[in-house]
Amino acid sequence: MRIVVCVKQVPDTTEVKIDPVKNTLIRDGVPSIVNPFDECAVEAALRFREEHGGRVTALSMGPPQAETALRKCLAMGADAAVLISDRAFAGADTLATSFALARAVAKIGADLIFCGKMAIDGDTAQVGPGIAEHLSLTQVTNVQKIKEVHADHLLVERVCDGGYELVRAKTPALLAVEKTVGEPRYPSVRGSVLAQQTEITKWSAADIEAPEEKIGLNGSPTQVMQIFTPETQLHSEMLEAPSEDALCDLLIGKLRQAEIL
Amino acid sequence: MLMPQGIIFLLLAALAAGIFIRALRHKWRILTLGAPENRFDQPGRRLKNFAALILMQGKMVREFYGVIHLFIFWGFIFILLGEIPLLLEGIFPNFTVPLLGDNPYFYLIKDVLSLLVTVGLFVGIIRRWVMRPRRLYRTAEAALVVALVLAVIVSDWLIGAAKLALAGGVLPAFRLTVVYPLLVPLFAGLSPDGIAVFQSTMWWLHVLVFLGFFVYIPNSKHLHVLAAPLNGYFASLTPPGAQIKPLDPLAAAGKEYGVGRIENFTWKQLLDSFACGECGRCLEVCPANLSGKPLNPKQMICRTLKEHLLEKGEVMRRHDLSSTEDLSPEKLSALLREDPEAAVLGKSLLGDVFSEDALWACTTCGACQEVCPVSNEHVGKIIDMRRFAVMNEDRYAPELRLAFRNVESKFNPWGVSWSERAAWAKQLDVPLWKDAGEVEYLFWVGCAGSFDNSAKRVSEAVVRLLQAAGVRFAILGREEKCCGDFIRRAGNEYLFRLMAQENVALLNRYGVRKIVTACPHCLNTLKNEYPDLGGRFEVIHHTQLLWQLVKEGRLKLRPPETTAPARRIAVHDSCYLGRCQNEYEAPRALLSMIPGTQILEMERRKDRSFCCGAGGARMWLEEHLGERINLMRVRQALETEPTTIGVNCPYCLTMMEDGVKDLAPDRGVEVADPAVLLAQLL
Amino acid sequence: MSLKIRAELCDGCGNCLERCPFGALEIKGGLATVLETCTSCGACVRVCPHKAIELIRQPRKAAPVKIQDYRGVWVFIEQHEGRIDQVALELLSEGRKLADERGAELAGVLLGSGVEALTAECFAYGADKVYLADAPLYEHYRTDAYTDVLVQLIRRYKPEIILYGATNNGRDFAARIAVRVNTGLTADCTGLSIDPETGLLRQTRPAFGGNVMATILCPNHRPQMATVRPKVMKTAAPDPERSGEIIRFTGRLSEEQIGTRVLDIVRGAVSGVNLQDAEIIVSGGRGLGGPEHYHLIEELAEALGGVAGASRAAVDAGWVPQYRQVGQTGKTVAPRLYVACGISGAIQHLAGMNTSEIIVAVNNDPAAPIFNIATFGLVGDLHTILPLLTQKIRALKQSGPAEKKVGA
Repeated sequence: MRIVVCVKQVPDTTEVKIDPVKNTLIRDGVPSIVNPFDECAVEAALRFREEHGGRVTALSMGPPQAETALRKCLAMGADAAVLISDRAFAGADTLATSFALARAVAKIGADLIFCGKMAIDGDTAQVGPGIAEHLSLTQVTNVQKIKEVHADHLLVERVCDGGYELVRAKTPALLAVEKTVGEPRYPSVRGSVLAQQTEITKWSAADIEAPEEKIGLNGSPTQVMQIFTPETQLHSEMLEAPSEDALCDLLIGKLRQAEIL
Repeated sequence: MLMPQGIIFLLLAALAAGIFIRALRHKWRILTLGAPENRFDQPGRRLKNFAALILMQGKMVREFYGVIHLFIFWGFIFILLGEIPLLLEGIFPNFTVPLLGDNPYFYLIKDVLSLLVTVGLFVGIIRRWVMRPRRLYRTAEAALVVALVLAVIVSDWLIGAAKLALAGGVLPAFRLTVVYPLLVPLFAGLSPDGIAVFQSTMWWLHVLVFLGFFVYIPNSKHLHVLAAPLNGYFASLTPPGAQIKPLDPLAAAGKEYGVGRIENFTWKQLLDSFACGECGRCLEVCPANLSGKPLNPKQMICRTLKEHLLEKGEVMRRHDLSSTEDLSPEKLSALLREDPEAAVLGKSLLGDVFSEDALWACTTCGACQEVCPVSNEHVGKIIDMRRFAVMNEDRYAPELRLAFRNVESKFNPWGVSWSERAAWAKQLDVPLWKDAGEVEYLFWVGCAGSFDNSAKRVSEAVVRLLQAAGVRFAILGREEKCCGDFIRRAGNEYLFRLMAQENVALLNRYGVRKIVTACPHCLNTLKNEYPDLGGRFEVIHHTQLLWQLVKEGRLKLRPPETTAPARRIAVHDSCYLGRCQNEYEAPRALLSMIPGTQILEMERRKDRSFCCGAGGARMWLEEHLGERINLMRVRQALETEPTTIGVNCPYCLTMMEDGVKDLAPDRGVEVADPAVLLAQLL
Repeated sequence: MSLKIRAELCDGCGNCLERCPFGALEIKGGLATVLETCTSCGACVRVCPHKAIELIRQPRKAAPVKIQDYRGVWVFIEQHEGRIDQVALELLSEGRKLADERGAELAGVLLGSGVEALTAECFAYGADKVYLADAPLYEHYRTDAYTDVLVQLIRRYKPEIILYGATNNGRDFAARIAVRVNTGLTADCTGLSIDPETGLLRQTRPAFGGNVMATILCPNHRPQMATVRPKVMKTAAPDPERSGEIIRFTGRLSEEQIGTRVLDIVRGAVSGVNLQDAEIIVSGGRGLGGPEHYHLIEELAEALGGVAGASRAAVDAGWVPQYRQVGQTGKTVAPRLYVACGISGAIQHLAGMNTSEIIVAVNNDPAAPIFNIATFGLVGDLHTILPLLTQKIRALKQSGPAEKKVGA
């Protein structure tokens, strides 16, 4: 079984702060991490390999520094890693990104592709299905569990409103996983050391035969018109009321405003 | 002229020496299975250590029974010396050993010491078998040794008395002795021939007992009479906080990390097991053990590791193996077919020999090493085995995994946002080093000082006090990262080095020379552990700097306007400022400056202080087993009826605060760092 | 293809620097300069008063589609077991406004098995037309079948705008449709409007974990597609008198050509205490005063439809079993609502829950650090506040739901 798992290096968005004066993102020194959903995808791929055999290749698109993210995947236990990196990929939206990744997957060869549900810096959840479409593969998103593996199909649980669907999916397929698929393992020291010493394959746009008009900004139908800082953010608020009864009513009102109740 | 009895004696002595040497050689061959370690440097310092620890029994004499051991130690030496004339004169009746045989002062000392030893042995018997303290084993071995020593002494007395009786009660050499003349009346009524026969019988009995004891030594706990002096000489010369051996996981990629098999300990670590006299002092001070956790530091050294070492070492030597690291399962099962005892070769220290619960119970407080009279190093062994568990086997508690993960991604073990690290200082006008200009000190805040609420108050107080004293200082802010103390003590040398190297690189780039910190753990790591990675800084604790500033008259405090209510402050010494830095004065001096203060000392204090329970990565582990250590310590503090418990470490602060909330929520006992109390007087 | 500064126009005013979310611009020698970190997002292009910044694209041979052929606003009507999802009604209401602005029709696209009756509701909420694919094949949502229908419809009827709910299903197939018809798709929008100058759909969405908002356009491809976050758009009052045209349609795929099959749907299989997955958590700490008061926590949790947790202090004291512990050494949680009762807010606890969306703190110590991170803080005795709150919430839940359904 050839398994490819797609990962993205993202800024740790919980560490991205807004400069209150300039109203811009302070990204200086913000640590880069493997997108947490993708870490779960790696975990799912590794567990799959442990049970059913195969070879796991981690694939990422990004600047040369994204190598760090791939090293993390190697440390967790991936067998190989491929980074597609090219100035020409810059400015890609989900369409162009999924195209480039699909080309790389095709070059690596895959029977099963794992993706995280979405990336925390973009929150789109579109690249996984995009790759599947480019490769005309069956896809299942929001996968929380792989229940059975057969020669030509899988049985998986797909999260839906208030429960899950039991889905039979033909293989080859792409699975986009939820975090509940499995807590990503913390790499062992041995794995981390090994990962430092493993070669990472690097491909340019030419290496994956991606035509210029389909990648990067040129291959992206969407454009960012503007970026701005949202005004509404919840601040700490001490609720005060003459009686405890009124205090409770005040809180309930707030929770209803926030659509919790 | 050699008499036939001389020949028999020489044959017996040669036999005993043969057995003795054979046994020693066996021990030697097992000891040399250990990994190399250089303990041969600085002979001058080592000899001084030897004199203090062994000849003067420096650690022993701090308690009554230790004084007895001092007598036994010197008594043993003089009895041994006394054997020379006794044995030689027994074979060559007309020969007198120069310096000893005719020296009345020698016999005086020997006589007094023999008496003291005898008294000591009886005290020992009463203590071990009547008072039955937990720290001592009541083994047949111990009884046998006592019996042998007593037999040696008593037979010597009888021989000497007989000799004196034969000489008509006057012998120049014995003129100052007490015991021999006292025993002479025993022979009243016996003919000289009868006395001679008695003397000669006693002499043979003495020879047999003595040689038997001699032969018994290398195979019993009394090997310590030989190994302990060696251990004293080879004792670690580095301060207790600096004893963890460096390990570069990248460079050692192909090898086993840490110690998971006994022969991967160094020879010195193995020697510890032979040096142990089973006194059990470590047991009496170990917070893990006293709180009912499965760690027994004494057992670890003198039973668990020693027995396994002897068993496995023997089998390894039998099959001519110098290591079992490369022993394949096939080879092992082949060995097993010819030698069932080879099963021991497949045993791992982790789990098979040493329990994992015990391994993780240690707080690295160092109390065991502090009290060990033979300079055994317990903590290093535990760290080595933890390294094996964490780095080699990837086997450790999930909550520790989380703490590692947090440090890796957020640079602090709680996983609080990295960008919030300097948030505590927002209102305080503290410059960041990168835009501070000329400053003297770097204030290393530490993770707790940056994020923990109580510790943040200490950080604030330190800042205000330093500002008041006109000290130019700065902080690193977001650029500071976890120093790695707990990570290293948890056995994760890989992550420790990642953190430490980044910190060292930053500190060196900024040209930092002097560092003050409010965390004794950071202090120890920066001061004692960063030099290995190229970071050499002068690091002191905030209490030390503040006390220095007070003494220099730079820090002036105003007395409170209203008369403060009397404060009774129980001082809790942290392990890493106390035993690691040997600093007990500064915190007390600062606390004494608070008007109306009475300093209360706990029974376990200073170098005998009792850990709060958070060191050695315990802060990040659940305490599932036994009693909670912080509660025990708080109980000890509350016994002094304090209004305040004075602490000087953020871990202690948290642990003691938690304990007070649990044990005495209504007594209003405050847990405070001296800086916080002093800052109120600004 | 990259960002280009036209030196002859730039006067180094620095407007662009302030706008760049990535800090990828600096002024060097009086000129704006592009740094390595530029992602070609284009945020700076519009703010330059001198039009000195350009995004250079490869010259296109021709526009990929004739955009003027595309007319009308569509909304994907997601339904489950014969009930239209709330988000679809929200989108119809929003789509109605957009369609009116564009002077175009609003259509719903409804797939399912035996769902024709639902078209009336679509009309009531503003649809002029409903494209209906009603066949057993479409009983359950399935990527291949639904994608096929939408793609065939798009190719045939050429809508200008399509809105999908940003639900698991909406996100699942919208991305595939976008690739197949080669157009843009903006995910998880929270704001939609028509650009008055160009008539383009302005799609606003949070990015970088909600730290910034981005407005996205899709100028040269059609349809313009967006998934829209549920509960953001307001549902208009339905007009039961409205009606419209039903256009029946069937896709091309047969059962064999569909990659997936839904074998079973398991609902309500949420286990008792699963702190990590819980949307609502109520936790108790040392302030409870004893194990006998923990039922206050459990009752409030139950009333809220959440799960009861505890701080380490309460667990260490033996009041609450360890599996309920939230914090550094317990479970790390991020629910929508976290109610901390009698928890002072030691860092070890905060580390496990500080990413919760809304944090309510109840504590009798106004100086408790928990209030620093609480969204709403209540100072008072939890022993009186909690039972009151529980009682009020129960009462609300019994009378409440109908009121909410209509919305405002």
